[in-house]
Amino acid sequence: MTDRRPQSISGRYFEPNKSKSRPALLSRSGSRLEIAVDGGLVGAYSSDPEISSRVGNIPRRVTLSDGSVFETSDNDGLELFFGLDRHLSTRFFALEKRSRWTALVAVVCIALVFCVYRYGMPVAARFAASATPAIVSSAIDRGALETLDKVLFEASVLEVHEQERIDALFRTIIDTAGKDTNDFRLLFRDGGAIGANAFALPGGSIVITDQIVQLTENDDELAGVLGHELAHVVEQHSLQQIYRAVGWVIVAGLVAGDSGQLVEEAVAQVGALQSLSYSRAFETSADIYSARLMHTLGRNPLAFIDLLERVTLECGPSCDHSSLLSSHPGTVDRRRDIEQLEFVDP
Amino acid sequence: MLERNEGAFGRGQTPARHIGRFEGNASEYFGIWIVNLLLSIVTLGIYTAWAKVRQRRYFYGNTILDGHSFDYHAKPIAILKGRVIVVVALVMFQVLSSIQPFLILVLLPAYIFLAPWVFNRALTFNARVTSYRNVRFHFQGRYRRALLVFIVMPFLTAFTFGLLYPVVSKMTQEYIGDSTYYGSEKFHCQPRLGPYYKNLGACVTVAIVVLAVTTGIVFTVTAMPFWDGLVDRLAENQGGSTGDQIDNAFSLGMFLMLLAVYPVFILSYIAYRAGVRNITFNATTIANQHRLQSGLKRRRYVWILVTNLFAMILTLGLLRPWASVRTWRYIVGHTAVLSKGPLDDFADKAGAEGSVTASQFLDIEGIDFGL
Repeated sequence: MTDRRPQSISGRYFEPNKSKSRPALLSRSGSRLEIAVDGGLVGAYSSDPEISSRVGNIPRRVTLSDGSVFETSDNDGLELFFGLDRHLSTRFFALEKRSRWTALVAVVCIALVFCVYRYGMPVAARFAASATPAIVSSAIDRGALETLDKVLFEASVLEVHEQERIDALFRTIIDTAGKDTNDFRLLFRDGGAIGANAFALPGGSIVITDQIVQLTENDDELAGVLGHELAHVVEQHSLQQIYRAVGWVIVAGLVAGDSGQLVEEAVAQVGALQSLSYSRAFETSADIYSARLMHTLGRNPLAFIDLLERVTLECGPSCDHSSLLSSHPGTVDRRRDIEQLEFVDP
Repeated sequence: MLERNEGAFGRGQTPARHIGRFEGNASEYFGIWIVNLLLSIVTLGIYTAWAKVRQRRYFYGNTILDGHSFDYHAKPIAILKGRVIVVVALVMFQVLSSIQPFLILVLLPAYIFLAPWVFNRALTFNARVTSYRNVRFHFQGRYRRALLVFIVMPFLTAFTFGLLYPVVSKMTQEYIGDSTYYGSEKFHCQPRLGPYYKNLGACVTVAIVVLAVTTGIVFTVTAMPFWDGLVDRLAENQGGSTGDQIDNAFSLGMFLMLLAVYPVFILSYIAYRAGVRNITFNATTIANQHRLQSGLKRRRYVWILVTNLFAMILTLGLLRPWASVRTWRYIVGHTAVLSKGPLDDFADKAGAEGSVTASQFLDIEGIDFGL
């Protein structure tokens, strides 16, 4: 084996910090490395040099103890000369050149990326959401409410006894769902610019606007909406949304970060679309949760879809179809999903 | 390729033109890239720091000018630390702004005053870890100037419908070029403002023409009889009413058009950037005897990036190494140095610069623009 190790390597010699190079020969004399230029010795070194690692076939730098550099394009010769060919990393990265092996790696990578995207991220987000301490989610509630109250909402003008009646209805729903009423609170606000609406914050605060209460024709409708919002809290949908958004930013940054701008643009758009489709899946899941609760309560599981239809009528024709671009499914799809449940008689 | 723009510099003597050459190839890079990707996924992103160094070294090491290659010297550990800091900051920002949205009022000024410093450190880092012929690049920024070109000017531009944008481009490029050193020798970057405006004008004109043609096509199509039928069927499929046909047809048309605005904007921005690079490089000299040259063709460059994107989408990203190599080869092959003297009489700055504090900075500087 040793006889195929070269006695010397040819390359270029740079004095420390200088850009001028001269053709040179690197050889060994005893335990010392020697560099010769035009047959004359220019340096002899007894301490180990720093050798840059191999990437493809780019020139290798051998940095000597005085800061001078020997550079060579003879990658294989250099590895044999210094005995680097036996190193584990050299052998590992040599696999980069085997096309059959890289093809296999490519297949594994595609499978892994798909799994991370399809399963890993949702699972990680669900885990992170369930690991989030209650104190953090209630802090999110406080912060969000404070902001919304300043910029959007007015105090509710609903009669107190009306508020109490709806609150009692809400408590019945929580009980039916088998949850603790202390973990949730129902808040009434004048919706201002957002009009008829209801939403849930991760810490258990559920806000309904006066406008949506006024649109309801019976308690079944209101109960359905409350059940839907309850589901968002119980299933931690908004926390998962937050974590998925963060996760996407990080993954996209790490995987596509070093590419041209067009790729980053495309990845960002895919991320936005993806988060909308996540959000539609959450809405559907909340609808089904609510429909089951309404069924148990003996109320009409489809009633709140009627209410939603009235809300969308107010917002115009663009609201009633779900598409790639909407955060909520259209009411047509939502009704169909609920009608598919075994206990619902369309 | 690079026949234009020699100016007064080249006259009299016959300077040598050293055109850049890229010696890497897609199949070789594919192996490096796919192994990087695998290790990055398996280590949950930790390996990306090492991957980045291998990727950069492949591209720099295969970039040849006058028979010598460039090299990239960053330490993966430094990059990893930088990335951890960036990721922690991102997560904290997201969580904090969810808890207390008004916190942004505190964070925004902090960001504004920190940003110039961060940009300077990042530019310094990138320059310091790049070498050519055993001599490293340097960057010596000034905080105030960076505040002006990176924050104040873009802010003013927002209030002038972008009319000041070429001024910002010129000032930014001038600042970066004029603060960069090769060894102990400083680059001199003195572009004129006119060409930057001409470049913007050309890009905006093409964008407007493309949009006008798209609009024409969209409205012709929506005026055709089959269109209403199509919209009708769509409405029926969705179970909605067919009453607002004309309205639907019109809004769908508008929607398609708006869909075209965004890509056209992005593409003309890319073309603009290519133009800016040409103008800046062609106005940059070093040591009074070397002039940089850049001759990117805007349309060709946009074409390369667009076809790259489609190639990647169609192959689930597997052609990404091919795309990267193709883009890099185009850029390098259209970059040159025009020299009236030898390129090998540069020397690195005396080693004193590497103080302990600076090296601490350098660690944090692993944060670079690409994340």
